[in-house]
Amino acid sequence: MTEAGPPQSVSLTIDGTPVTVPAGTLVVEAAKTVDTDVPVYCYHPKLGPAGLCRICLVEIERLPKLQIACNTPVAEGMVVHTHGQKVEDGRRAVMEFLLLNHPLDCPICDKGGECDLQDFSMAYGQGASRLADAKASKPKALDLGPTIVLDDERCIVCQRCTRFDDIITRERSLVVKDRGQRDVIATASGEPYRSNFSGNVTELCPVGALTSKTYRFKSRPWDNHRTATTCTQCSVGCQLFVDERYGTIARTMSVPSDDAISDGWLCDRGRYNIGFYADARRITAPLLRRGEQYVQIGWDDAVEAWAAGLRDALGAAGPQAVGVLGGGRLLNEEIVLLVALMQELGVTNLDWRAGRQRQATPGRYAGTYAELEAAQLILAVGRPPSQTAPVLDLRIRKAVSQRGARYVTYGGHAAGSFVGVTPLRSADDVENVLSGVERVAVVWDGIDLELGARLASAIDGWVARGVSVTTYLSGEANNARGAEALGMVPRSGGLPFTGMLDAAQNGRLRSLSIFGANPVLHHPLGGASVANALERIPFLVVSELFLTETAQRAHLILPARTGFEKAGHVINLAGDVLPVHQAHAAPPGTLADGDMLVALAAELAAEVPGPEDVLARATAALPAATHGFGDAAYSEGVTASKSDGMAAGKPGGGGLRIAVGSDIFAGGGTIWFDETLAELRPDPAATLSPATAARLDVHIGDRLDLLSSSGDDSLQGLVVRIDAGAPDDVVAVIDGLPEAPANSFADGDNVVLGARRAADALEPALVLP
Amino acid sequence: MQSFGGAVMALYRGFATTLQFAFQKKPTVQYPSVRKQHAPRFHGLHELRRYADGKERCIGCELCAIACPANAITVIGAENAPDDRRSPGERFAGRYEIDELRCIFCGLCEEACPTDAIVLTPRFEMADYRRGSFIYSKDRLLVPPDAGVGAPPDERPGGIPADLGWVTEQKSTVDIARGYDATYNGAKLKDEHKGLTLQ
Amino acid sequence: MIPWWAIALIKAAVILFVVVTTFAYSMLFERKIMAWMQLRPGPNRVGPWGMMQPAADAAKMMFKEDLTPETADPLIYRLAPFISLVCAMGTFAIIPFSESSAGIWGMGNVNAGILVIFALTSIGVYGISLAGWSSGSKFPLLGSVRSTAQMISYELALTMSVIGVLILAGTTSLVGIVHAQRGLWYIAPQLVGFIIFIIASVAETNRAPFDLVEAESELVGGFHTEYSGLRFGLFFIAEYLNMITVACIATLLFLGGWNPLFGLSIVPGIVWFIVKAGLFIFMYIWLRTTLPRLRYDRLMNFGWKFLLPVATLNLMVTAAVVAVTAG
Repeated sequence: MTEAGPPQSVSLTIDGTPVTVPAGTLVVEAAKTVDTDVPVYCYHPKLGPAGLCRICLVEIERLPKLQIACNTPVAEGMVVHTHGQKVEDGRRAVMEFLLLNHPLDCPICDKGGECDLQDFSMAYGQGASRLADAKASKPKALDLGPTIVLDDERCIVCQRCTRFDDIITRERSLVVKDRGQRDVIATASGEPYRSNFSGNVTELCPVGALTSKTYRFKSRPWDNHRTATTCTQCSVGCQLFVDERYGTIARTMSVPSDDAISDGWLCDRGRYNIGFYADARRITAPLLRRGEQYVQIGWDDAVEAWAAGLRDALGAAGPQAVGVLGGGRLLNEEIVLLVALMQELGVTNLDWRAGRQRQATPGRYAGTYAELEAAQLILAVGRPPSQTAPVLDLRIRKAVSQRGARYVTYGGHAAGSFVGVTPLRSADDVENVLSGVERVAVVWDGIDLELGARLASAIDGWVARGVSVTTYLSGEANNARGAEALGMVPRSGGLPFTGMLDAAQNGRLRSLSIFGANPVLHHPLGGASVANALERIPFLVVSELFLTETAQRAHLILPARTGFEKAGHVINLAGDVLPVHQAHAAPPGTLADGDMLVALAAELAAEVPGPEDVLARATAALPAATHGFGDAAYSEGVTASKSDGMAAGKPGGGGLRIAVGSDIFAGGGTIWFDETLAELRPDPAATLSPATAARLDVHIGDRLDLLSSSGDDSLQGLVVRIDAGAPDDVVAVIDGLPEAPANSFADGDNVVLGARRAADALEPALVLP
Repeated sequence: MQSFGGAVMALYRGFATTLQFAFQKKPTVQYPSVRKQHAPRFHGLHELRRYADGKERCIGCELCAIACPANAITVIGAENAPDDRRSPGERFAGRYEIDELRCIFCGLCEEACPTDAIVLTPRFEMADYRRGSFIYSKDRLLVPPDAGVGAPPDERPGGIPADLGWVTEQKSTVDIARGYDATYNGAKLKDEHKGLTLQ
Repeated sequence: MIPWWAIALIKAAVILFVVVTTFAYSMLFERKIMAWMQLRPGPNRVGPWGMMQPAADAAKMMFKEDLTPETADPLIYRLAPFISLVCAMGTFAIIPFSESSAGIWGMGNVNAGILVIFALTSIGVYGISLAGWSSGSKFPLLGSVRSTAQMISYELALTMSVIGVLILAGTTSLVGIVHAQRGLWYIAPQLVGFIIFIIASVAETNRAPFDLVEAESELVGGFHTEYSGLRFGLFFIAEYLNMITVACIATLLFLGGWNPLFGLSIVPGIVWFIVKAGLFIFMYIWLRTTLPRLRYDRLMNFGWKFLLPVATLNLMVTAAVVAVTAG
């Protein structure tokens, strides 16, 4: 792509209507400006022309043959006819070829009812086939990967899926194998098709060749009750459609017009992690602990018990003995209510930071996604967003592959990025790549405040040099930015969550209410010490969907609602206030956190703002921030990382250091209670470089234990994987796995190899190829 | 305003009519003990048919459900397990339910079905005391594997299914023939001596 | 010697039994006749030709739940059906069914019998109006208001039509009136009076086509909308008893009572009486199947502007004729 001057206009006539479009526009796009309909299969606005299917034939005057609209740029004075006898005849001939081997199994096809091939057959097909021989028989119900099923008979080889994998994700694993009528969509390597964005090919497929496993035969398009809402799985805030049928969520679909946020794509976590809503393990009644057991109680009793517990704590030791954790997964309205109620009670110990992330507001240089896409240099500091904000990563890939941006990382490890990425090892390297760059986008993970502070001062320096910098913070909790903006932070002398844990350990915290957070699995203090502190709290209330590690320590468990079950607003990492609509009826017995809080306020006779007031505050424009990354305001005494992570030079004495990364299918919570995605959950793995593996004498598929240098913490049963791109002397593990919770380990910690078992000693099924 | 004589005549005619009716033959059929022959293409209770090899014809495509003007049909598809194939192909009806209280017995489901799985039988006696029992699911709709599959319900061995009870007398089908005459196609078919197989 | 009160009790018991049985079968009779006239077979499931249908209905009525609305006045609500029933039954104490060697078939021979009957049927209106008022519900109230207005309006015409007969007979004793008809039944000289009597009596008993009191299409069930079970059954009995009473009075006043037709005195008088009353009841049913219900304003217009003047005229002509011939 070259930077052209102001686009020149071209005037042409389409179906008798004169139109003026920028030069270089394709006829098919120009036709969208007039009231006509040009059929397409292989063409897609985001994939560009391919000229494979030939269905978009149009008649252009003074050209002897029909032309394909998708690959013909407009020219001055062109006269285009998108309909007419000649065009219809041409399209009918193309349809006949496309349908030659297409099976007549529309009644059982998941695409039936929203299928372009069906629609255009009705419009241009001739109704009967002239083929005398039997249709070609090809594999049906082929398992293409953990999420996708391929019906190769239906494929019309438009190559949208392979081009998506090539142009958009840059992963290039899908290809067309073989030629002619024997061609088949497959991965080049023969391995299952695994991608964080695999679900998008089912939407791109204009026929029913690629379908989702989770949606297979669940519903027909006309059955679905569709709601447009915002994905609450991560902080990107993609817009999506939720299709619901008979009280269960059948599927989710991307919003093609959502260019500003998702660019029309969804990641597989957001698209497919819907099975947990109807999981049998959902808590559907408040649970009160009696001795070692939980008893189901009604909501009236639950609210009464909650209020009594709070009153006891307030009466016995005052507001400083009461704490609240949560907000990262709540809606803005609920955060407003929570903050207002706690203010009313005088409670100052508020925090949303249940995990590693310390900061959510990027501050004074906050940018939009469009600015990220337009940057010449993208710098990811800490954990890169590929696993925590996948659709943001897709935009980075777009900036790199289509806009010519350069992608560099500092700290963390950049595995899983499919565009050219340059890991930088020192601050000098960063300064070097910056030379001559005008627009820089910086993405930080918000974990290491000290690193953030150094980054902030560096950014100030760049800005002073005249570089245009936009900053982004891709964190763990989806509405962390909303929680910070709406005041879910320690107030006037209140304790942050780490301080609350400290107080609990000393017996000074008498009551803690946790909303949608699982600090036992995620807090960097480590599961054992967090659990120990929580167990010392006389009255612990947890509002959760499932019996998580944290909920199991609670005295009162409140069954909550989430995601598509409630309505409100969230703030994504770019600062957009996005509406969340209820798309699905929650299981009876559950209550949205906001409703719980209203009931609690009534029980405590506390004054909380009314609905209009709450809505006004929840949707108010974000105040202009003056701080930057790693601001002292966020400091709470816990440094997540003991060094610059991977950026620092040589490892310590033990010779092995740990790198803790993310995975979009990790994180416990919803994915661990979604049986439809069991195949996607990552195994606890230890990824090593070939040299390190050879030095340690471990092999692929071995299982090993890792001990922290102090010997207090351990990760057990990690499966060894070898990655040629991994740095030496580093073992990479995944954070947030309930089987091997790595939350007490920080990037760069020295670790010691514990017990190991060779792959031979294991049953063969567990050995990875 | 009617004349006095006219009014008396009107009264006379009214009273004469009712009195005359009192002595006429009553058209009532003493239903449970006496039964009328149903019309050849009577639309009654549904059933789901099978292929000769015992596999279900229904593929769970929901076309009957979308064709149904009364929204009486609910279908939820499911995937055939390789070791337990319920229907040919990949998909079968995991759930198939018809609310016979909603159904208007129009037969559009029969026409929409791409595999001739759903048909309307002449059975019509489904009275019950509980509303819930009118929701017919697969356990009652699906014919047993040996029930004369493939043939239209009227031509099945034994004709009308056997649960009609004790039939002591069959009413003549003259009325039905008259009904056929009343329709354009019926009369035409009768003139051509084909298509009508009454009695 | 059996004391007089024991005889009265036995007679009362016998008459009540007969009357209630008659009610039961006149109801079946009505349903059958109506069915035939509507080309239906009518009740035929319970017993042969549906003969046990009244017993089945009675059992059903008795076992149904007796509901009292929350807004109802409990005492009057419970009392109203009894007022209706007692008044309807009381008339049978005075009606003579036939003559015999030991006096008359009936409870007693009151010398002002016709007046007592009118008095009792007039009290019967209270049953209906109180039932409607005490139900605490709008449809019963409207029904009872209509009922009261209708019964008062038509009672005038009814009485006027009867006075002609009394002038001719010169007595108010029912037995006396029957005796006075040994020669010529009063239907002949009092044809106009008889027609007025039929119309007014249908209105008095709230029967079709004058059943505006319980017009289902507009008032649900009229005054007895809220009643159920046995209490509803009591109203039902009272309505039919009134119908039988009116049939008996018509027989006594216009059709010569138990006087035989064509001098067939070999047939007992009681049979003649039953045949004549039965014919009158059949006429009631025939009316019901043939004529549609009147509109309320037309009913009132007809009663006051046509029936009453004609009845008055008839009375005056009768009185003049009697005065001239007697003079």
